[in-house]
Amino acid sequence: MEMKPQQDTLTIDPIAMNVVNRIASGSRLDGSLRYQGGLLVQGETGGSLHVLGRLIVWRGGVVRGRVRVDGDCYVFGQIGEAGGQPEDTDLECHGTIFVAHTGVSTGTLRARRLQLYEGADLQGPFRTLKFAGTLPVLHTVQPDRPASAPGHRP
Amino acid sequence: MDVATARHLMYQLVRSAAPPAMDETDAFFTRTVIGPPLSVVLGRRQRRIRSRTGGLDVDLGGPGQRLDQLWRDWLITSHQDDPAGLPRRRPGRLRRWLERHALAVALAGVLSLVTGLVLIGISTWK
Repeated sequence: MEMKPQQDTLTIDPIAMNVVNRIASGSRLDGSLRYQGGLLVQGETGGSLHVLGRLIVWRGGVVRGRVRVDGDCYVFGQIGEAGGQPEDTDLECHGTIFVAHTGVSTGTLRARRLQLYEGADLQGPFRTLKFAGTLPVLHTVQPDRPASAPGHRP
Repeated sequence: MDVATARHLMYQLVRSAAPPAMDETDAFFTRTVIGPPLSVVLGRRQRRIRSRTGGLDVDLGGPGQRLDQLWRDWLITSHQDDPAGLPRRRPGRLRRWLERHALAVALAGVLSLVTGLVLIGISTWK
């Protein structure tokens, strides 16, 4: 007899995870939005989103549009409209996307890593993000050029 | 190590070295608006389907390796020092039952101890 593998749990600690933004159940937010810190979505949101932190899509929560997440993404709800096309929603995650057993995605997912759980419904495509070109450049070192004064343009 | 990997490691190092500062007021409002910490079940990890006609699966690991695996499982379940946002294995049914009834288990232990001491006292008194 083969034993079933154990389940995974996730402890969501808003302070430790710096999840300081929330879209409550029944709320809907559309437009060009930028969130400093993590975001918990229990309602609906769409448009052009930039989350500088972790994104948690709760059960019943819906995220659609062009979404960029700088941290990890936990999907318990829905990415993209129900019955929508993959090009309607594009989620770019610079960490890992965890799609739980209640998670549904009809959009295009792009991330460094993907962790699927049994029951997860991935209806759209997934693409892996590569390191090069996706990370913010911290320091650009050009040793061949002489140092110039601040504000000076060659 | 290529340049991209080195840059990625440096980025992760910088991010981990400078966690976002949150004072007491921010923490209060975060806890009020977002809520207290809670655990949620992600589910079972998807893995490749194993065919029943795929042949015998011979486990070459000895008892030492099994013990090592148990030790590693314990390390995973003891999650006190885990970084935030990292999924961990859900404890087994027995452990969850024991955790839920920890008070009753402790009470039963204390009662057993007291009963034992009383019985010993009675037997020595006679």
